[in-house]
Amino acid sequence: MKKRMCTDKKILPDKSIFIFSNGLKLIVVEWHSLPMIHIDLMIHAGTFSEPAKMAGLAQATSYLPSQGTSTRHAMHIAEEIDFIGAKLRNDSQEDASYLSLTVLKKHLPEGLEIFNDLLLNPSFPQEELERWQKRTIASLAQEKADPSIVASRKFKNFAFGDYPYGNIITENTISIITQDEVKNYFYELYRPNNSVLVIVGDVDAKIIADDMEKLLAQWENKSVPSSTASAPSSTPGYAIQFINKADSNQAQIRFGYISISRNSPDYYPVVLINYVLGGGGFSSRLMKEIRSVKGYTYGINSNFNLYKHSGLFAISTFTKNENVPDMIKEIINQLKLLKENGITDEELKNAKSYYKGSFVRRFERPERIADQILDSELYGLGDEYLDTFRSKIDQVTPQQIEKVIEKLILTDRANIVLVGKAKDYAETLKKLGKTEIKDYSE
Amino acid sequence: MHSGKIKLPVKEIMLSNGLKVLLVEDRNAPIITFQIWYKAGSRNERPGITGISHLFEHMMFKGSKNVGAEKHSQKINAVGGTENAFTQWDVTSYFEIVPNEQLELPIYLESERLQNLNLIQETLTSESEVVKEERRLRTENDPSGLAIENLFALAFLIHPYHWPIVGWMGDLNAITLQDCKEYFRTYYAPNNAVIILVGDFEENEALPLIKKYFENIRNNVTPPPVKSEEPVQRGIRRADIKMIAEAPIIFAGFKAPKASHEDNYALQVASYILSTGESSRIYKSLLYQHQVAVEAGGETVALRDNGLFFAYALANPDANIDNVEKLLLDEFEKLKTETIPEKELQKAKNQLEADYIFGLASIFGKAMRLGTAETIAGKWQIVQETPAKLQEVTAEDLKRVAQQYFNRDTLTIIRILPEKNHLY
Repeated sequence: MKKRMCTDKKILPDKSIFIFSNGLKLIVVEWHSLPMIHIDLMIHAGTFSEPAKMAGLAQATSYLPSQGTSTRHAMHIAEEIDFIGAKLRNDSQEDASYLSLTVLKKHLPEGLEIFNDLLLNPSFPQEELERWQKRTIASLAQEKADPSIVASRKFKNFAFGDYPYGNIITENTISIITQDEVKNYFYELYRPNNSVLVIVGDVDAKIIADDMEKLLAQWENKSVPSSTASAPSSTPGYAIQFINKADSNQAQIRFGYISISRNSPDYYPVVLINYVLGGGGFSSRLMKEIRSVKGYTYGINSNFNLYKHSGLFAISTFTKNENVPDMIKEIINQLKLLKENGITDEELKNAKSYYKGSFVRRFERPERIADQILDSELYGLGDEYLDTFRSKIDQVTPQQIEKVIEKLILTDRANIVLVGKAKDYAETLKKLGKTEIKDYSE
Repeated sequence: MHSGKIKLPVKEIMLSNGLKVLLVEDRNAPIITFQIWYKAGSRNERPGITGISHLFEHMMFKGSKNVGAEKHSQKINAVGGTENAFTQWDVTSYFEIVPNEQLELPIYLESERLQNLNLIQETLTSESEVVKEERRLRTENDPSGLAIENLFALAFLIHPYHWPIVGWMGDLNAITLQDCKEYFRTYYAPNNAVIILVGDFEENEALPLIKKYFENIRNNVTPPPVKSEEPVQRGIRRADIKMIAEAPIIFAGFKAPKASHEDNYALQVASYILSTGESSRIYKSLLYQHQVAVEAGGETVALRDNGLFFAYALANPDANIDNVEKLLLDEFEKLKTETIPEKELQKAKNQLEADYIFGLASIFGKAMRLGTAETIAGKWQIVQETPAKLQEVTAEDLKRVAQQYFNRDTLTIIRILPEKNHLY
C-alpha cells in the first residue's frame, strides 16, 4: 500500500490517499464533528457503458448487490442495515455508478461487513431481478404522470440520438435484461482498478485504510475495456419534437444542443457564463426577463450538463400552452443578446464572487465532501482541483469569456422538446425548422 | 454514544419588541444560516383570499425602499449565498445561507423588507401569474399534488386546513393589493416572528447586529387568533378522482393530534415501523411481497391545530386499487391488534437515533427543526427533548396510539384513478 499526504488549504480537511495492491484508490477525510461515517464507492461504469437496447442495465447492476449475496437474502440485508440505522444507497449516472453507506461510528464494523459482502459476494438472484424489472416498469408508468420528467428524458434522447448519453429506459429495454447480462456488466466493470473509494467521517485515516485493505483484499483487479464511441457534435438548424398531451394546461419546454465535455479547458468560463444566463436563479438573465418581468413562468434555468465524453446545454422551463411561441422567441432573443453583446464586467464580477463564496457550502457534511472528491476523480480533474477551484474562477478574463461565448453560445441551432397541448402552438412554431409530432402515450 | 446526549447549544433571547431570537453556534463549516419565521400561513386566511400567504411570500422578493426588485436574492447570490422561502399551513419562513464573514447582510436584508416593503399593483399582477404557473405545475398537472389537495379539502371541512396553501385558482385572480397590504400589516410583525441563526458566528458579534436591525421595529397589530375548530369526524370519507394517467395513486389520512401533543413521539416511531427502510412493514408488504406499488408509506403531518397521519401508495399500473388500499390499511390495523416485537421496536429507535445525528450535520437542518418546533409545536425545546422521548416509547404506547388514531371513522381516502381516454 502506497500512501501520500497532501495538505489542502483550510476549506477541505486533510485528505489521505492510499493505493491498494489491487489498484483501488482510497481517499480518506477525517471529519470529527459528529460520530458518523460516510463510505462511498464509485465505479467508472454508468449508463454510457450499457447497450441502448438494454438501457437500465447499469441501474440494475448497481441495485442488485443489495438484494442478495451468497449468504444473505434481500430482506436479511434490509433488516441488518435498518437495525443499525444505516443508509445504504445505490445510484447509476451517465459515467459512473455508486454504492454508499452512511453509518453511526458505533455501528461501523457491522456496516463495513455488510458493505463488503455486497461488493464481493453478490448473488444477483433471479427473483430479485424480476422484482426490480416489475417495479422499474411500474415506476415509468407513475412518472408518466409528470410531464416534467418525461420532457427531460425525451429531450436528452432527442439531442443525443444514438449516442449512449441518449439512452432512454423503456419497458422494452428493462424487460430484456437478464441475470447473465447483469453479471457480465458487474464482473467486467466493477473492479478495484476501475473504482475509487472515499471515506469521510469520524475515523482515523491510517486505521480505516488498514481495515479496508484487509476487507477488500479478495477483490480482484482485471483490465477494463475502454469506451470508444466518438463524441457527437451539434448541427445548424432547429429541430422541434412536439409531444402532444391534449389534457395539459401547461407546456414543458426543453431547449438546447450538444456541447463540450466536463474536462474541457473552457470549463471555468462556461460556469460563469451560464450563471449569468440562467444558472444563477434570480441573479440570472432568464429568470429576470422571463419570470420577473414577463411572468411567463415560475421557473427557468440553463445548464451545461457536462459528462465525460460530451455535454448538453439545456434551458428548462414551462408555461401555459398559449405562451409557448413567445417563450421560445424570448429564449432565442436572450441567447442572441448574449452572443452579440457578451456579459458586463459587473455580471462577471458577481458570477465570480458567487462561485468563490459558495464553494465552502459544498463541504458542509460528509456526503457532500465525498461527492466533491468523487467528481474530481471521475473526470480526472487532478488532486489539486478542489484547492485551486476558486483561484481558477478568479483568473478567468473577459477575453476568455468572449471567446467561449463565441464558441459555445449558438444562436443558429437547437433541439426543442415541447410536452403540452401541441394544437395551441405547433402551427406558429412550424416555420422555425424541422418538426415532428408524437403522442404522449408513445 | 446515545443521541440524547448530543444537545444543541441553543441560546434564546427575547428582544424588547417581542421578537424571539434563537442562536446556535456551530463551527463545522465557515457558513451561517439566518432564518426568520412568521407565524402566518394558509391557516390565517379566509375564503376569497386563499393562497394570499404564499402569494405574499413571492411579493417579499419584489423590492423595498432601499433594495430593488429581486435585489435581495441577487445581493445574497453575489456573496456566494443562497436564499429562499417557503409557505406552509402555519408559517411562512425566509432563509439565507451565506459565508460567515457576510453575517450582517441577511440580517440587514430581512429587516429592510420587513420595514420597507414595496407593494405595488404591477408586481402583484405579474406574481399572481407566476403563482398560477406554480399551481398548474404542482397541483393541476401532478396527480400526487392533486390527491393531497383533495385529501385536506375532504378531511378538514371547517378548519382553514381545508384549502390548499397555494390557494384556489379563482382566489388567486381575486386577491387585491389592499388585501396584501392588510395581510402584511397584520402578520409581519416582530412579536409574530422568530429569528433563528445557526452556524459559525460569535454571539457577541451577532446579537448586537440583530438588535440593531430589528429591535426598533414596532408592532402595529396583534394578529387575530384562529378560532375555527374542526368537528369530530364520524365516519370514513372518500373520493375517487379520474385523471389522465397510467397508474392509480392512493392518499389517505387519519385524523391525528396537533404538533404539540405528546402522542406525536409514539406516532413518529409508528411511522418508522411502517415505512423507514426496506425492512419496514409497508415496504415489505406492498413493494416486496405483493409488488403492487412503486412507492408507499405512512407518516405523520403534525400541524399547529390538527394533524393527519398519511398512508399513501403509488400503485403499479396493473394493480387493483381496492387491493392496494386493503394491503396498505391492513398494516395500520396490525399495529392496533398485535404487540410489536421488541427487536422491531429497537430497530425503529436505532433508525431514529441515527437520523437525528445525520441531521445534525447540516446547519440548515438544525435551524429547520428549531423553527418547526418553535412556531408549529409551540416551543423549540422539543428539539432537545425529542431524542430521549422517542427512546422511551414502549410497545404498549404504540398499540395505544394506533388504537386511538388509526380509526376508520376518522379516515379520509382519495384515490386517483387513471383515465386513459382523452376526455378533452
